[in-house]
Amino acid sequence: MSLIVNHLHKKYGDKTVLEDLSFSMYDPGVYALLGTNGAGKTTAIRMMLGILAKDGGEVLWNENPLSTENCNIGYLAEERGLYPKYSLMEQLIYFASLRGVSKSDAKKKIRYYAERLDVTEYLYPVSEKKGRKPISKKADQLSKGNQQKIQFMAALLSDPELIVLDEPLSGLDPINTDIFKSIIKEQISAGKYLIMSSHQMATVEEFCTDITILSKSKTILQGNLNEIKKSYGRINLHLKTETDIKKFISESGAVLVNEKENEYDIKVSGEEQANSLLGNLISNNVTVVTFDLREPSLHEIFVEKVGNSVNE
Amino acid sequence: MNKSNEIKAITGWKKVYAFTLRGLIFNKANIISAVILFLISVFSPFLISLFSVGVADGEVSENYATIEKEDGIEKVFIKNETEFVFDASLYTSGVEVFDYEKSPEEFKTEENGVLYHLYFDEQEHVYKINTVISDVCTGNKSVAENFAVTVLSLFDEARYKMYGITAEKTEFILSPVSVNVTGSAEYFETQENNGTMSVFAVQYIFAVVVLILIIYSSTYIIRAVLEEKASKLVEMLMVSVKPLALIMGKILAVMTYIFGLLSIVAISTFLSAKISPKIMGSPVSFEAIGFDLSGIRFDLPTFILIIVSLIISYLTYSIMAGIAGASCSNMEDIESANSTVMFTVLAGYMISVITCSIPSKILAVFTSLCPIVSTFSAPVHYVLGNIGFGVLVISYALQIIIVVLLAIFCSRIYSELIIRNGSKVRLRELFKIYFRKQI
Repeated sequence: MSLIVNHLHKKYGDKTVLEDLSFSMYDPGVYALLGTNGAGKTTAIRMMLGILAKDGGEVLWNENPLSTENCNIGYLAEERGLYPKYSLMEQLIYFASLRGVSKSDAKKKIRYYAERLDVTEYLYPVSEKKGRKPISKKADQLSKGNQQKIQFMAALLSDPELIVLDEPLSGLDPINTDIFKSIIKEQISAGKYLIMSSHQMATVEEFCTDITILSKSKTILQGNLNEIKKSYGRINLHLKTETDIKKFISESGAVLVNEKENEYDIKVSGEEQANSLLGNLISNNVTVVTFDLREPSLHEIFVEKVGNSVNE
Repeated sequence: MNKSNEIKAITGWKKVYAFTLRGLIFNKANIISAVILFLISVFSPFLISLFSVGVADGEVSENYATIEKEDGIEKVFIKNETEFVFDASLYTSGVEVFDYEKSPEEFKTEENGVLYHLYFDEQEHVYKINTVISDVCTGNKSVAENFAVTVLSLFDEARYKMYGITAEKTEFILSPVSVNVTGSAEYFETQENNGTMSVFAVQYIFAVVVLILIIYSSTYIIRAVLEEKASKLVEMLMVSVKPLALIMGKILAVMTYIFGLLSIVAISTFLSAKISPKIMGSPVSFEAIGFDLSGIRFDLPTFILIIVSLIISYLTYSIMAGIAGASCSNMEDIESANSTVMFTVLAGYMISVITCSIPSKILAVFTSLCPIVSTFSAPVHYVLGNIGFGVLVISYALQIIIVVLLAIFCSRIYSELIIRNGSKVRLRELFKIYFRKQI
């Protein structure tokens, strides 16, 4: 299976909201669409899914135009909602039926995800009055986080091959974030194709193999995350010592970014400079507790790239 | 759009339809409204019966003369030697009514008494009613004479009843025939006025039914169309179902709900109208509440005509409501969207009512073919014979074309504005959006 996005383009009047977006996924995994607010991520997703008309370009799934007829798609939109006055169970079964899932299969899936997402009490409430059939709760009786869980569940009910998640973790507390993450990992293990847009770089780094960074509707960085990172080299040095080493850092030509109780975040030009600093410390009998030399984080790459594009 | 794309565009409408319909039926507010409507439909024939002119068996007719104590007559004697039994005491007040067993000779001495003697004259072969006023009676003799007419009427009712003819039919059979002599000018003026009244009655009833249908369903449609946008669900649904299928499912669901509700109301009213005379004792008469329906033909072709006209009218205005709903982004805009539809409906209604009362064949054809007005006018003019079947068919064809064009416009506008947030889009902008997309 493969997903190929070729030269997607969208304009509103004279304003270009997405310019020539292309990327591809030949293997299951997670592809991240990153960018500042208004960069064109949601527009790109909407065009890919056919919600928004394309001004140019194509989206292919197994070499055919992507559609719900040839691909089972699950979508968690950035703008989320549920029918406020229908019971949760009723609307989940409806959403599943629109994706061609039978009522009995939908019920099994709902039961499974209700337990995984810890929303059983809302979908299978216990009757407060004796002899009265309990009715599953309505959306307006749920917190925002729990509504988000139900929406996530709706996106997964048809066991989709391609899952598109637009800001899936925004607004969630740490506990629910972990629940969502565990389900995303489960989908990755099951060999699904995921496209995710997010502002949470740490989360993207955790899952994604390939990324596209958009800024002002243009692609400013694209490729395999590890390779991008490698191209920057190991330039982040974290040092922990027992004495003050600011003098040695200054002498090495490295840049001290942050310091707190003999713990230092240092920006080095590369492995050579870091090793030279370490050798200098050892030769001066400075006890080194931690020496951690890393590639830049996605957050740093994002800030650098987007910052540069904004300044251009 | 080729055929395959058209099928894809409406795939899933049945699921949207079923879900929306279920939502409408089980909505608490709708259940309450339906129950209220049902109760009104059940009890209204009973209320109409109360105001009805018709007189049932055993009921007192206001048209009959009565004898009261103040008239100075204290006793009414009925000597009924016929086989037809009736009760005259219903038309007396403070006066005693007796069956008279004695001979008429003895009656002479009864003070303030009146005797009504009914018998069959074998020689003349006629029934006779003799009114005998006691020689010593000081009461109002003309009242006694008038009461003889009441006795005659009661006698007639009794003998018709014996042969299975109801009080209502008796009244019909016995209704007087008026003979007038007029000049030709006066005669034709009268005929024209009667025709105008009949047109107005038919127009009024049909238009009011259409109005009720549209007013009742317009808000439902706008709300249903806006539901997904307002609850921010639409993006997720768009992956599974196309805008045309979504809006089509919703409009048809509201249509089923409203027509179902109207059918229940019509059937319960009909059954109640059949049952109420047996309970109330008087028939349901629309004349009593100001409707003269005697001139309206109601047969199967007329019934089919009405249903087809109602469906086309409903589709026309419901798609307009769909467009109005598509132009909104939040529930606060419902009222202004609804008022736009209402204004259009009322304009069509007013034009059709006014033009229908003008006796002009050309105007009848014009209003039967003119969009919007034709939904109200065409079936009425056909029923009244103002237009032929050919004009009616052309009118229907034009109305269907309007429905299709509105549906295309609605689906394009809906899909273009479905993920738009903001204030209500004006009509001029809607056209701009439509034609921009076309380019």
